[in-house]
Amino acid sequence: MGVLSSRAARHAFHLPVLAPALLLVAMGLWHLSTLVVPVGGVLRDGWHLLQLRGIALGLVAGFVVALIPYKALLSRAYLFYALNLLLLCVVLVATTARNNSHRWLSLLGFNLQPSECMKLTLIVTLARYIRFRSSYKTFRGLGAPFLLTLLPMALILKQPDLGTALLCVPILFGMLFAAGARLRHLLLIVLLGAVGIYPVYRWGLREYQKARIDGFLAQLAPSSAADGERKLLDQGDNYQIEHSKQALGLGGWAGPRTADGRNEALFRLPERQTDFIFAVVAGESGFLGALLLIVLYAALLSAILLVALRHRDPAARLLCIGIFCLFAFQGLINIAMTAGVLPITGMTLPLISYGGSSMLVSLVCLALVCNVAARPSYEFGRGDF
Amino acid sequence: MNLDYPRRLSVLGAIFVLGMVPVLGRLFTIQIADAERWQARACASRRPDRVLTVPRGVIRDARGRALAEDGECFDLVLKSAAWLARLHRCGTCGREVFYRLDTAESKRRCTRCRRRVMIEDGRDLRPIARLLGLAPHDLLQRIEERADRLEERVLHALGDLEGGKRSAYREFLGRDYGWRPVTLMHDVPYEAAREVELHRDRNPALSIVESSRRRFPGGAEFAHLLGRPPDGGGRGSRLEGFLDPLLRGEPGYVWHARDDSEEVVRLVEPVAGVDVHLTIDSDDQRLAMAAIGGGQGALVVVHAETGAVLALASAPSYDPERYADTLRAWPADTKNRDESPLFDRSFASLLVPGSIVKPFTAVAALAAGFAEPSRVIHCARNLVYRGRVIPDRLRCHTSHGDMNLHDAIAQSCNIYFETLLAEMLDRQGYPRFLEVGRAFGLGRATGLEMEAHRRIERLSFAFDGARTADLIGAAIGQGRMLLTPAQVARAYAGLATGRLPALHVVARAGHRPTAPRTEEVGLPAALLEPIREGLRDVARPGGTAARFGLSRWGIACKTGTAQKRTDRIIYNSWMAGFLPAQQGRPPIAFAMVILDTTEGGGDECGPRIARFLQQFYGESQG
Repeated sequence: MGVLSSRAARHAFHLPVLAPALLLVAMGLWHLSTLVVPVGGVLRDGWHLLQLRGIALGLVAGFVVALIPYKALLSRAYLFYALNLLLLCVVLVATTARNNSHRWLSLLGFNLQPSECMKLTLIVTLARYIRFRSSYKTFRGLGAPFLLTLLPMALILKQPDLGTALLCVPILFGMLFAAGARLRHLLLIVLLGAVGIYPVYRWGLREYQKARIDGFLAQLAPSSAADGERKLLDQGDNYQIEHSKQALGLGGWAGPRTADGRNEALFRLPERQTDFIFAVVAGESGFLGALLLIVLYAALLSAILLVALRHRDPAARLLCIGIFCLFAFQGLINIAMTAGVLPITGMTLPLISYGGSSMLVSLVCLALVCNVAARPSYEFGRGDF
Repeated sequence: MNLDYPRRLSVLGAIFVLGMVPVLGRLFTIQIADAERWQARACASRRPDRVLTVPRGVIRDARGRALAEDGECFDLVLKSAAWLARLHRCGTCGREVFYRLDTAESKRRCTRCRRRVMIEDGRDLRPIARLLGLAPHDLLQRIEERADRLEERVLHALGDLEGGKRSAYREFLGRDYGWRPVTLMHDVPYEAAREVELHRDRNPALSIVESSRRRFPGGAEFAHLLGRPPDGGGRGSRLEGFLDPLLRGEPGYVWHARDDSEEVVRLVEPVAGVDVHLTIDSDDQRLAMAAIGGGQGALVVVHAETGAVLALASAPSYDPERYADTLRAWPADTKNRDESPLFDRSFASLLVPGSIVKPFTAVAALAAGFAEPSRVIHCARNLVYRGRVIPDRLRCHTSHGDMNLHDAIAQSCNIYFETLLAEMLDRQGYPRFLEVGRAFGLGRATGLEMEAHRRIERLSFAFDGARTADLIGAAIGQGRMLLTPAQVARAYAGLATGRLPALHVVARAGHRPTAPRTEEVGLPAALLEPIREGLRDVARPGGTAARFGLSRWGIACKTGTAQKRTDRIIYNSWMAGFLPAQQGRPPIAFAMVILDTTEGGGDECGPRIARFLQQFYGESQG
């Protein structure tokens, strides 16, 4: 395992990726510093200080990952995969439920979410699997990548963590598509998946998950009487969507115009430090703040895509594309959920939301992109791939 | 479709951009285009800043005179939000704590070190307490109980927040927890209210708000009928409780802007409670109360055709003003006694009815073919049924000899009706008796708005598991038969008209009149006429109520003497009947009961009914 040369070390700080990423982290910290959230009936602040722990850990882990050649990581991909599966099993059987779910593993005073790590592990594993194969270009050949994805998905669903589990799907499809899998095969699978939506909704989802979908559909329906609408939406399954939208509405162009400059609707929004952090950004900084955040995301994603485009090594390309899909879809789904365009799935906004595991994995992902960017490959792929 | 690698990446990028377009569009709609709508909804989601109360609807009698109405009063309140907004830093531990109600620096207590620096003698509250008729420490304790509860909740929620956030969230929680002033005392005297308002600086968190208190100009005569409005989460009772959704209206709410302007950003207009008009004329109600006199009893008078209640008197009664808000003040030792004024005896008490049910036994026997008006039964004072002599309480006081139906009703012969029912019992005719009884409303709710329907239906006219003596005793209203005076009056209205009216006391609520409801009793008029004729003869010479001159009003009635206790002769004395329309008055049916007397039904109720009718139809009748 070799370390970076001095030239590569300089390139490891790939500014086009790191600059927007660090700006996003700073933006998240600033908004977390304004937050006061009830925990067990008691208001708690200082979320930015807690987040700094996750950031520090993420930077250290990222630095380590940036030093190790990505090929060395790829060569141990299946080992990481097996270890991560084991952790997912341990979480299910050896931890006590928190908020009715088994997601966290307490390690050295740090609450690790193996499902968050699995997203990165899956990317690395799929990259390793796909890189020199062409079997995925046949319909039968898609079986192995799908199996690699569905196995952790099933364990994550068991926790239950629908949001994280669903995120594995765009990662898989994005990587296969970029690697040159036949579009008709992928479309056929999407079609088959669409046919299975109702049975999954009917028998596969838990009651609260169904209620979220029902609530989402109900809030899309037009309503006439404003008061009746309020009563309907203000309670029950639509509570979060309703208050999220109220917080956005109070945000206006550049933040709420109240005497104390605070967005009162945010007081009533649960999980505002994690899943609904975008409502905090858009509610306190207004539409312009939200736009800035989206632009920063777009810049980060473009930089990742550019690295993927310029690199010649298929595995490196796949790593970048997997990470692009992870950030793009996680961000998109989170923002869409906050704005009421998609149902609530319980998904953090990368680099912004409070959460040690999420921050750790996000920073390591970006370190991996920098790692790839710092090592221009002289290998030649199979044609395009 | 074969795309090269750069194009595939472009497609992935495009998917993100295309996915973001509707999201951005939605964001723009919510934050910019539809911002006002969402701001209004955000405003509607929060607690209102002010409550606009509305007066409760007035309950009026048939002539529009107020029986129950809201009067102005003053409430002493704790302004929790204002109280929470004030801070004090503890001199000992430096903790930021809320102002207590006391004012001076030296009179504050820290919530962390619990250093006792609060008022020791309640000196500032002394003038107010004196005017309220409380000891200063009692008032202080009452205030502190409420304040402590509020403070504990807010302090717990604030946790370890410090600085600006603490202040901002305290304000938020203050609004959340303290959005309504906490009422410390309702209806305080004017002098006390004046003292509080004049010396606000002494007790900044105390305030006086204008409020309303239920007044009952109708007096004790209407106490049982009107009951109490709901208080503090209670449901209220009688008409005030039953009609509460109509009477109370809906309060209004005001939301202010959260900027410096404090302008009203949302207003929900209050909806006033509706006025309710009763079918009862308070003059008639007073006549009915006067007729009962000083004892325990009830008199129910109803319009025989429509079921409109004309009088619903229950004695003894109580002063509703004194117990308008709560009955807790009532002396506990008298609350549950038989003679308690709190019990209504006109529509809520189930009583043994005695002989007033005999006409219905006769109707059942006629309808089932067990009797003819001309059939003669010999009364030898006793009845032997299946080889056993019936109990003493079911015998006649004297041997009546040969009796036909007409004479049996007029002279109230027990044996005649028991014989009829015993025959029905032997020959599977008993269900017909129950059926006819129910057709006349026995064992059924009367329709009165404030009646406890289920209790009446469960307990009244119920014979499941009854012994033979009780089954036969039902013929003369003894044993397990229980009826309310309102049920009896309704049944006699059915006997008078051939249609059973649903009783009601509400003539109209707001602009909506109550439509009279009646139902067929399902019996031919020819079958009822001999019974009616027998009842008319009760007030004629030879009848049990012949001595009171009732026949001049064309009354058809029946007396009843229900034996209540066997160790000492105690009766429930009854009289029930009906009269035709006359003197500008509608046809009426009535039922009177005097409880715990030593006289029979005719002797107790006859003179009272005569006096009532005399005044009801005017002095010229006398």
